[in-house]
Amino acid sequence: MIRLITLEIKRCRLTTYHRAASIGGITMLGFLYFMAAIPWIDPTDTDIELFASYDFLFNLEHLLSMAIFSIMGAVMGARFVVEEYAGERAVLLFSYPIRREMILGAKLCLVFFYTLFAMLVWSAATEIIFFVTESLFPIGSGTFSWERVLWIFLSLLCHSLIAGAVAIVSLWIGFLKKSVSATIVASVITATLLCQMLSAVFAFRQALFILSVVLAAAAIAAVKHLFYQIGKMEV
Amino acid sequence: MKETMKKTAIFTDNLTKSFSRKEVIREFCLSVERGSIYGLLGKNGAGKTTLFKLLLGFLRPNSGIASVLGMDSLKDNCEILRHTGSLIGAPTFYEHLSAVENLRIHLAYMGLEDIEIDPMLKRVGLPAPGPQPVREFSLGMRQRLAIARAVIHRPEVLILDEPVNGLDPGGMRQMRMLFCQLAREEGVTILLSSHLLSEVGQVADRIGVIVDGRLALEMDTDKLREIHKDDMEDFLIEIMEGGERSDTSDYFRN
Repeated sequence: MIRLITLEIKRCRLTTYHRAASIGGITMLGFLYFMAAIPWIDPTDTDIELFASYDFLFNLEHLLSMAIFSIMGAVMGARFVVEEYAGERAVLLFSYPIRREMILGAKLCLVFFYTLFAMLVWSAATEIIFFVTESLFPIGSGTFSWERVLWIFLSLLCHSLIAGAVAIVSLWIGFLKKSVSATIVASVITATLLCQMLSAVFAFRQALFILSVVLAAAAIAAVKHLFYQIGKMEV
Repeated sequence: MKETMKKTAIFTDNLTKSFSRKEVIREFCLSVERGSIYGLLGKNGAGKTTLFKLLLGFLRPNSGIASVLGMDSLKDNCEILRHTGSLIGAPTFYEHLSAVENLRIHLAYMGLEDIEIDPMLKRVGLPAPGPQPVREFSLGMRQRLAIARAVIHRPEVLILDEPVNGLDPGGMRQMRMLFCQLAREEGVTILLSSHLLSEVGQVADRIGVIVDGRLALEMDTDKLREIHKDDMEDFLIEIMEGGERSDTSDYFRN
């Protein structure tokens, strides 16, 4: 499987996705500072305490990063899976003496883990930079206790997992419809709904874990169905 | 029977395939000897590509048997693909990669990374193609690269759907010589389809004509040439159009 994933990386250009991930990360850094500065920009804002709170800022940042990286992952899935199996290249993929499920599995692993690790790396980098600058020139209020840092890390991990799962589920929808646009639209709708749900239960931390488990289960079901579809596919 | 099967590289028995209740391949019986070149002729939509896809396991038959090198096309699909090279339809490549990179990836998937690429490219008339991505290739260059990809991993069987499509006359001759060399010197079995009667006539040991999914005619090329010295092309076209000729009725299949 590692060899197949390596082959996938060799033959697909990931430069575009590296660029997209870095733009997403830098945008989120700017967004974090902007949101943290709102109490300074408009001290009369009624939600001033909310914007000054690190919990709120990081939660918001995780939600938006999740949306950005979900869509990026869905675009990747559309390119690596939907386009390839919907088009003429399926004949080429099926002409290798490797089980169809293995080749598809390598693609799905690449999409999922790239999305997950891209979000983890860039969000972590963003947060570390923010943490360092806050330590020197604080904009928000509150302190970075170990408990808070641990929660931020766990929250980031869950949101990254959700981003990867959304990419897989969107890819599954696009594969069934044989449509790249369906993949991307599905990811936008799913990410939007999840952002709404998670922001509504912001104070209820367990909701994040529950949703992560639900999305992971949905992604696993999607993968199993994709394997079934690819096994009986005719080209 | 076992001895016969050992000499047979490609075999189908009453192979049938339907799409939306329309039979595209009908009780197709084919036998291609090892080390021979079999030319399959047929009109557009006769079923040539469908037959090739059934042999390679890309399609599931509704009934009948398809086997390559004694292995079932569906059950032993991976093993067949390991020993088979194919060119089905318009060739697809990784367009942003060069010819060498495309072949390197192909060999990696085949698990044969230590095969040299340059001699094969030279053999198909693409010496030193350089870093030019495949999307900038002409139709002829793409066809040559597709043939290189089908042959480079030293398969025992080649299944080629219109392999000389888009090649200039020099290129056609070069491929003809390559196919003959592969069959005669390396014992590769070649099943190819074409619209070009003259090309098939020059390279194939045996010719089959597929009409509406059935094998309408099957004959050794030498015998066909002997019977139809002056009107072989007319005869084959008439068969392809669905006609029958009483002078070769013994060679007709139902």
